[in-house]
Amino acid sequence: MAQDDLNFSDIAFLVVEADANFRQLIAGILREFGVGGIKEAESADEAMPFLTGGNVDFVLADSHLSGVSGFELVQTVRANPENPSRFIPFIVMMSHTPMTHVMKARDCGANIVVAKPFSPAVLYHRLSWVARDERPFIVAPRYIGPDRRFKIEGYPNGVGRRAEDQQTDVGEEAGPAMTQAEIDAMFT
Amino acid sequence: MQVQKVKVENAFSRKVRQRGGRTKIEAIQRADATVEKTKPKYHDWVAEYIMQLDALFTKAKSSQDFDMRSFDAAYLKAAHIRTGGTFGNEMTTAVADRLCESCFTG
Repeated sequence: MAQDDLNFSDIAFLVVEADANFRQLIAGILREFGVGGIKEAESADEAMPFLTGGNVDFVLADSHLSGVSGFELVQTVRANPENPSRFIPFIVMMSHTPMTHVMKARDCGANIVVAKPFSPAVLYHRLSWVARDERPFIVAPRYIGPDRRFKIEGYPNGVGRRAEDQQTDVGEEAGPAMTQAEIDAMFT
Repeated sequence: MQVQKVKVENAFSRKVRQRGGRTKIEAIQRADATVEKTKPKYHDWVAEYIMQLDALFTKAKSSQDFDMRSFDAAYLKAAHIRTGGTFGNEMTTAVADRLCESCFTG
């Protein structure tokens, strides 16, 4: 088994996405990655029973859901000490990425953000990143999630290295929407 | 409540490192094939989304007061159109970006 290969056969994913078409597409992508169990939810309300049930290993949640947002979903799960899914990894998917939204995602306790649209390769790389992420969790009155105060020299070993991964300075807001590379810089 | 640093067990990390499963190359190739297969359907999705978006804008504009709910629904719809880039439709994504911006800024 190569270092880059991930065995998803024993992983239960929960996909929380309002758009049924895209939700099914993500489920299809995960199935082809070899994921063993995929649960789907249209809203945070639908997602919550899966999360309180404790049979989910990973959540892919869209930021913009009708009713409770993806950000609030992460916060709610992280804030409840009784929730068995409290510390599981969350990737927040975002269609529109102004800096204010990306900061919300970082501050809600998500592990990482993936900007839509994304290819299967990009999703795989982000899953690899989370698999190698060894940050401790911070439990504070106003924040519960992976430690935000860290800098690394790019991705952990073996994950999608590119020239810009070496940059550790977070740039100024360049425009209304941030690129995936800019978002990654905020999370790493 | 004090600030605590908690070392949590990442069960996901442990499980994905077990032997077996598909190789990265195989997994991505298979997923790419699924995306490719779904491509033709995307045109139908977009047509449907644009009709819904048009109806939401009409409703929002015709309202006497600022109709936040319709703008919010229009923003969500524009965000759905944005996913075209997954299917290689970069132009659809660019256009939907501008729609998102206009809904976002009101």
